[in-house]
Amino acid sequence: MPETGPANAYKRLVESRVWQEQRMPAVVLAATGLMAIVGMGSVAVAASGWTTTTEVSVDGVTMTPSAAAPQIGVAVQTTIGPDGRPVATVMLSPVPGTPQAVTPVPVASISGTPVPVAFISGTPIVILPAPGTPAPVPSPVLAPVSETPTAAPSVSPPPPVETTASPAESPSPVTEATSAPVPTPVP
Amino acid sequence: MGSTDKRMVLVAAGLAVSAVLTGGIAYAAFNTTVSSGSITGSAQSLRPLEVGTPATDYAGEETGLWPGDKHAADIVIPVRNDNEIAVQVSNNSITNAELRFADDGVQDACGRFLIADVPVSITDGAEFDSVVIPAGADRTIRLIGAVALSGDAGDRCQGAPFTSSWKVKATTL
Repeated sequence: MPETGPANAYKRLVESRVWQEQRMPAVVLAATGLMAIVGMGSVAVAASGWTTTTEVSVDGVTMTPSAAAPQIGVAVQTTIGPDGRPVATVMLSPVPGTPQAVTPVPVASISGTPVPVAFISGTPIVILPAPGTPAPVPSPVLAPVSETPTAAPSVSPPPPVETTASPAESPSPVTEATSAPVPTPVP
Repeated sequence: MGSTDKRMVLVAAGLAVSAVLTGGIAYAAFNTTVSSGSITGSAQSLRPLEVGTPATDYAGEETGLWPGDKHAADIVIPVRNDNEIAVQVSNNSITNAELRFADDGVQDACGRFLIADVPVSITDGAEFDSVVIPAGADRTIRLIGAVALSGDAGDRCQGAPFTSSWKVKATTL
């Protein structure tokens, strides 16, 4: 006989609620987990795809400070350095005709005066002689530096006044000193 | 079991018998099969992005790399998608393959001062994590501050040409 009647209806209702309370969370959890798995699958599918790689080569260059505009220096004095190379005193002139400083630098050769020397702004000015170039001699036109022994004082000519006055009677003072004869008494 | 239940059982049994008979009749009918023949197909090949003229774009008005991060240069790579479908380029799919001076001596002396940074990329002036390049479309990818010369770089590194190589990976959507 089927169980009918209000009492049994109430019993089924209670059992249904008990089932919902006890089993539904598990069902919801399982459904959520299933959805998560499906979702992950979708992500995995979206992340996949064919790929192609292109390689690109790009040229570049580093800067050279000397690419800045070179300045012009003018040698105003020259001498021989301790290494045997000529040393010029260069007047720095970033703007032609506007001397700013005087700096001694080794140079390769001095051929005249003033001697233009190109150098790099902000860096030591060192111009090495070309291979095989004989050591140059400082130009006599340039003013010698006082502390250099190579500035030979012997090349100084005698005063022109003395030279033109009386050559016969004007030996050099040194000559006079060494050759001054003492009169020999006549017997 | 009530009378109603008995009727349901009888109806179900009748339906089952009908189904079996119908299947038997169908099975007994003549059959013929037509072949469609061989239908060929092929998978498409994804072509690499075509590259225009790439360039090293130095900072400000500079015309070469100077030592220091603030003088880092951008790498500009114009690309074209010649595929018939759109592709996607992710920022992290652009990598540096090589960075070296052209001269071996300079490379030995200065190579360690030449740096490829992990690039931040922009296209059309905007940063992107990933950019979609439609079929047949052009885009210019700029790698911001991608190449730099360390502040410790010595004079030997002056005026030295170098080459940077980059890999750009495109992916189908």
